[in-house]
Amino acid sequence: MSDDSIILRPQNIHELLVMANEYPLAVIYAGGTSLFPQISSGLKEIPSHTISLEHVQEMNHISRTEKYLEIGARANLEKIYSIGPPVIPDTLLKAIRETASPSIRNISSIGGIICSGKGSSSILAPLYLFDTLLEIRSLSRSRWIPISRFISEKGSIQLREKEVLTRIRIPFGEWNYQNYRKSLYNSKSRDESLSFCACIRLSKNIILDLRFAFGGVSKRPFRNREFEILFLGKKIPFRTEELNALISELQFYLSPKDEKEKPIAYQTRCALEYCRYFFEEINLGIHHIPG
Amino acid sequence: MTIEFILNNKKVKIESPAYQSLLDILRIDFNLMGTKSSCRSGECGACLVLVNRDLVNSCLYPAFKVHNKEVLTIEGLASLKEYQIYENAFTELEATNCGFCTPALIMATEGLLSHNNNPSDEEIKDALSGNICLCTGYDKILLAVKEAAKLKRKKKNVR
Repeated sequence: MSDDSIILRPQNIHELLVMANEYPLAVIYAGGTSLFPQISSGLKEIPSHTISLEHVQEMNHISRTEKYLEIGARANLEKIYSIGPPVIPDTLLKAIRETASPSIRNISSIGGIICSGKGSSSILAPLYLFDTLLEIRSLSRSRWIPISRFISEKGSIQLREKEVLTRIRIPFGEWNYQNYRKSLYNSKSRDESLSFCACIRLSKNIILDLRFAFGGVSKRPFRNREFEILFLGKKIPFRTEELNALISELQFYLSPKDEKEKPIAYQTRCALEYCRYFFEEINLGIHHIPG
Repeated sequence: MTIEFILNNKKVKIESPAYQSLLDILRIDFNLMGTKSSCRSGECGACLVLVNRDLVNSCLYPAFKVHNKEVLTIEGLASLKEYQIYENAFTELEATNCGFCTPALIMATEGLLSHNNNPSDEEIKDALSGNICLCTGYDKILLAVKEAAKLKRKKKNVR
């Protein structure tokens, strides 16, 4: 391999897919915030070919329809953050702000974060919360898959050779209240954090939909529909004993079958406490939450 | 590979490996030492510069992306008249501490004030969230940014 990389600069998605097909081992480079430090520190070899997404304008678009928000995979976090509410969900905005400073937001792309294989990234949890879909394209085909299937239990991404993540689709929902919290459990690394996000839809204090996603408790964000279903049809505010029972239930769901995968006690405790805070806020703010 | 770009308002051309960082280009090829080298992983913010007017960590910015861009470092900013505003605000409010992180803090301030000349405390804290000052003492830095914003508004006769 040469000591320098050949930089390919496609001008549109078609050119990108042709190049990805021709050079299946090329590195697809958007922001590079994960990749570049590994290459510059020698942890990763300089790729023989790099496909830079810089000029692929279609992958920088952000658009909305009545049903969903669509973000081009190379859109940087600052572009998403600057659009703000109500187009961008509150939890995603808070996750971006808590995770990245403006200078990192100007570099880091949302597609890069999804493809980096860092399942603990705080930005992934809100994407899990809203059942985000990903468009994966190659020269010969295109498919949409849920983000929960894109990242395996072991944290690896399900991107085949010659395929590229091109769009991120976040369905809109009418949520009465959303919440995002984050804590670092290893101050040496921003990646090692516990993030919690939740959203709730109510009608006359009856829960119509409720979702939770946790980042950092396993190698990919944790979300369990079985647990969420336990809340549907229940009336808020919760009594203390009812809340305690639900938190115990969550503890059960957060305990993986494989002992090796077990999150450390601190993360689990944070996850349970954040869940409790969420319900306490709902109980306290019930008169201020429309619905 | 050949990289052409505008550095502090001058057109420049260099030969560089594609994956050399902009930080190394500035410090090694152009001897611009105001952009500091510290963590080299985007954590400390000591290497902030403006690329096409956007604030970026130069340690995370590869040479191949610099091609055809406009780069402004602290030396370039210091050659502009409005730099006096930052110098006055940071020195008068004693916000410089040991001085190592000050160039990057001024670049972050410029990045903020060029878009928003009347930022709230929250917006200033967010803008400086990528800058780590190991001397600590962020209160004076926050006040200096507010003062710089005030001076900038005054200069433009904006209340």
